[in-house]
Amino acid sequence: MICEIINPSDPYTMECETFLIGAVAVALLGNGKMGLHSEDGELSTPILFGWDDWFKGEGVTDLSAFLDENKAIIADALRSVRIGDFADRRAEAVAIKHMTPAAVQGYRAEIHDARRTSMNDIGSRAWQLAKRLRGDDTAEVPAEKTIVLTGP
Amino acid sequence: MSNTLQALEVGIGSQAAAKIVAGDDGQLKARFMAAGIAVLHGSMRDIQSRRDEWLSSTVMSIGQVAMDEGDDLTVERLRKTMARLRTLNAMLEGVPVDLERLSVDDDCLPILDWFKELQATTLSQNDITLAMTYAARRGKDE
Repeated sequence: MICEIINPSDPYTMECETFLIGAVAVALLGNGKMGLHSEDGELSTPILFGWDDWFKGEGVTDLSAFLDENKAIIADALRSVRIGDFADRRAEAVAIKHMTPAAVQGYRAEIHDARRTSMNDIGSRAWQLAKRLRGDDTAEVPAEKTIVLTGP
Repeated sequence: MSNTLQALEVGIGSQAAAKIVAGDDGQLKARFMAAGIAVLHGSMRDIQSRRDEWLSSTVMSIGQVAMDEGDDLTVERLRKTMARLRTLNAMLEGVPVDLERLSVDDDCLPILDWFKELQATTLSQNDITLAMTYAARRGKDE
């Protein structure tokens, strides 16, 4: 399923096997500061607060164990993160139709750079995290830079 | 080596197309089909750097072979191919093209259908050009 990542930087979408898998991926990606909602708007996660209770409600009592058991599909979800909204994601699927895998990589990188307005590079962080989950210890994961405004 | 093969070598260097041509002696139509497909692939592959070369050299060389052999059908197909190539050029240059007025054969790269699909998305003209440019790199990546 396709979901939107709720964050204060740029619009991003993600494709995940289940909403729970996407939620864990986003929790990891934003250290709990980002959220996720499904395209039809029926499913959504907490943002900032309430993750523990939400995970318990979804039957996940040991997040580390869940992560270990589902590393590969969580990595897939993180690798699928794309800048832009749902329509942009569908447009990308059309755009890459006649490209080789190498050209697709180059095209995505160029589109990502062109559309990103924030210093918080959520896309690159997601892709590097995916590599780490797949066992690539050399993958450098950029820091999560979400700015959260709080009251005095 | 035949003139057609030489034209292929000069213009696009498509080994697959050359094999089709070589295995089909005496059938100009078949040779032209292979050349036409190869020219289309070549135009996409080398659009950035060799546009003038493939238009003036490859297409004209193939056309000369067809005219020398008196094959009107091939000459006509070549004219259509050149129109498509010019259309591709126009699209890549960002020139608006009236797609409804174009006649496209079923046997060529479905690039025009793809272009219509691209136009129906949220992609800007610049993004569409970028996508076509990356798609044109197919030969270099393989």
